[in-house]
Amino acid sequence: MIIAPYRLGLTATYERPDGKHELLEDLLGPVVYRKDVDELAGEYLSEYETIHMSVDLTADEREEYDEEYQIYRDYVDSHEFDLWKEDGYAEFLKRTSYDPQGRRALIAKQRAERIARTAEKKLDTLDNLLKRHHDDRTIIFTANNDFAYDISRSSSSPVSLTRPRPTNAPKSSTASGREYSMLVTSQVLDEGIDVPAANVGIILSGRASKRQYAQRLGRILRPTDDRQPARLYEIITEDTMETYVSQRRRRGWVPVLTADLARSRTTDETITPLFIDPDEERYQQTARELIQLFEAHLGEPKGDLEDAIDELTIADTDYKIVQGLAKLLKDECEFEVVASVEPREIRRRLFEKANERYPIVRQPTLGEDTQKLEVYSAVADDLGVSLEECYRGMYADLEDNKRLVRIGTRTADQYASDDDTSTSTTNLTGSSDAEYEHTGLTVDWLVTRYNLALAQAVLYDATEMRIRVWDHFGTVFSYVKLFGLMHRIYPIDSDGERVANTDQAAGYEAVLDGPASLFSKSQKYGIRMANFLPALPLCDRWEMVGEILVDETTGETRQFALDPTEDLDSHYSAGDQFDSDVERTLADKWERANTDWKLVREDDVFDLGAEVMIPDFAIEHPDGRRAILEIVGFWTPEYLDAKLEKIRKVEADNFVLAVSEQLDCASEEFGSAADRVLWFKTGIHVYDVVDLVEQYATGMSQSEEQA
Amino acid sequence: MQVEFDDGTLLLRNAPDDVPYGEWDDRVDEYRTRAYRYRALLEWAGKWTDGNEQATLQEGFAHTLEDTARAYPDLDLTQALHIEPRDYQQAALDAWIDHDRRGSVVLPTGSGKTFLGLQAIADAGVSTLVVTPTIDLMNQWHATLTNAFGDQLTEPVGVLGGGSHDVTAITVTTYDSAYRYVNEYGDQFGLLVVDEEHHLPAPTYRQIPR
Repeated sequence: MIIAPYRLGLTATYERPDGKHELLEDLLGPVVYRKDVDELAGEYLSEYETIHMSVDLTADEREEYDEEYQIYRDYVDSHEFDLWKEDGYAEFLKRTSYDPQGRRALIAKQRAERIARTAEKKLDTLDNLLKRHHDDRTIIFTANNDFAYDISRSSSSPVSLTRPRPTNAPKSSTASGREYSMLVTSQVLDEGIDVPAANVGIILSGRASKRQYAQRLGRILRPTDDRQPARLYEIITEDTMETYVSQRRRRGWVPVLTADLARSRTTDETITPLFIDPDEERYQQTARELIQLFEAHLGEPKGDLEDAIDELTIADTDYKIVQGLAKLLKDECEFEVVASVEPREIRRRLFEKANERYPIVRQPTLGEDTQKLEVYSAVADDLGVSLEECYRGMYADLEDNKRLVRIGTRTADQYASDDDTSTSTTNLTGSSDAEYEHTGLTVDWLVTRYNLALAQAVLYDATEMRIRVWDHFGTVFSYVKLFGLMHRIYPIDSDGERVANTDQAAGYEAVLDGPASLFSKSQKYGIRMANFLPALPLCDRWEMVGEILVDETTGETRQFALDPTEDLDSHYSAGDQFDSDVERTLADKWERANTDWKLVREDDVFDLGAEVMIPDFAIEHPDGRRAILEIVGFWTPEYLDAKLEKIRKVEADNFVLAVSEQLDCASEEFGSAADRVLWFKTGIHVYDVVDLVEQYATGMSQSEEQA
Repeated sequence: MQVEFDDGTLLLRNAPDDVPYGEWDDRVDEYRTRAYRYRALLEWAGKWTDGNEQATLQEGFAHTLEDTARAYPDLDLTQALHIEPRDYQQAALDAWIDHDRRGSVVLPTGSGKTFLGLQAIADAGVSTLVVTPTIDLMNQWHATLTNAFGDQLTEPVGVLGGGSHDVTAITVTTYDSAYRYVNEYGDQFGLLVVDEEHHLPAPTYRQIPR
């Protein structure tokens, strides 16, 4: 997907156990240079060398690991914590203290880490290393006490074990006593263990350790003589957290429902979303409570809203449904930093002011800090805001402190202005939808929107989508184009069978995918198909079959079929029925005119390759003759060029045009259709069109049949 | 014929039937090929120029080819770290240049692979996308690239991923973000640097360089 003619790949571990590194030559080019640790040791890596060794999990470990890790990852993804940032992780931990699902996620994470850390095969690898270095002084680091014990018990060599001890305890001499040739420690060296002069270090960690950590350990190693460098082995578990990346993350731009909130059932052939019945009282009830909750939190901090949703989630057994509905509501909301002064500015001033008063902190302040208030007051005065505004504004830009300023069509200001009335509504329970309509978000809207979101979630993994539509072609294909999908189009009859040409078509079948689908099946366009889906319920009659990838490595797929029986509702706009007044006026005039010819709206789709052209009208006679009419009204020069380009590509003898004389274009520009142009000044006359159509319409007329 | 970058692929307008790597796309009635065939196509048409060299015309006739795909600028950069390359780093760079600036360098951890990357960017003299497996590594690369080239660039080093979406002449990204956005920006870089490339053959990631 990138054209870059120059390519450079960098790695220390080129070969993959699965042999897939062979692909790299095609993707990036051949290995042009290679130097091993041994070749560089001495001259460049004289102090010590690091050797990475990876072990695989056993099948059982792998299964358990994947299961636990998925629980953790799904939770994290669904709450959009940015774990790469410090406060993201703190946020996650905070949440685990009150959210049962969060607690489960944390346990899952710890279990997964433990599996990775204590992988069985590490002990085998360790044993081999110890045998190889039986006459070296070796120090083994592990991040986990239990595992340190395991090692000391299973190892055939005499091993000393150090354990964490209080920092004020006298430092033991065990480590430097040299009675043991091997030391196992779960200690990070920050605590300053008296370390022996080891020449071999082995790190057994769950994940690739941070560079600084490895380097710090490396520095304690000393070579025994000039020829042999000290060695630091790092044994890590292959393909665990550090390389595992959530598939959902990889894929989604803006997933409506995240992986853990999606609900579907998969059989041998099909995959079906688990739709909820929009009329069922308990879902109506949940939706109603949620909308009330959001309304009650208008103007309030986001963190409070999240907490309230969690409480509701705990009370309700349908965790996925409640969180899913809440996610859809959140998508309709806007959260903003509300502070009279830029929070960053408040913090800067507070820091400066505090710094003046306490230049250096030598001892933690004991007791009540009376000066704190003075600092805040001083800064508040400087900024011309109240003490409270200063205090609250300081961290107003934290995610949790952002205010809910808009729900649907309703903003916080309006809320403030009609405070009295809304207080009374929020006190009501079990009230009808009507009272919530001022947000534009109703209970029925929410539950039907939810079903649509479930269907979209399944489509994220779609490699191809086949649709059949029998009306609203213009709308459907404008959404196909909007979401960057490509298509193959086939005219079909009312039974959905393909027919030879558009004149016989009652509808159209389209196979949708993307540019790179030509080379291989790809779920890369799944998100586009999911985004397109809401366009279909705009049609009166439609069908959809998605090809859903269920196994990335084998390419196995399932079918997902959908039609109007599920009562999905669209939140997309169907657009105005007429593009211009000229069209509308012609349609009106035609109603009143005395002619057998019938004017039919957007009935044909011309497949022009990359695009379709949907002419404004078809004109049909009861005897079977038919013509197609396109009106070229008032267009900007750019639009006109694009339009003419399309018109020239249309190959149909019964294609006639009505063109405004006010446009700066000539007959020649219409290509082969040049003779079939009707020029008009301000409005189009029905009988002029009829004359033109009589001349160019195709299809068998009854009189011809008789003759 | 005309080579056009189209949503992560190359659309070959009015291409002759003997165009290499072309797959007939009946949806648009043109040949189409994967983006990474860009260089091979230019070579086939006798249009490929490497650095300051003139295009080397093939034997016989050269096909007329109009290149509208390339959207990346040349850059004149010197790495400003004031570090002399070690012998093996220089040797690795030379080997890469000898292989027409395509290929992999395998060096042990801690031997200065990032530094080699900087030298390659300066040597290639084109806008560059650096792809890394984690946000940590992305940030490290960003800091190093900024130190090395920051003063010479009109815009800061770009970051695509981890909440940032700034694409500039030198941009760092993660495998995940690259996979998401490469069909959008795949015409804007002349050099692709892939760090820890052994992750690249994963089913989704392998679509990035293609």
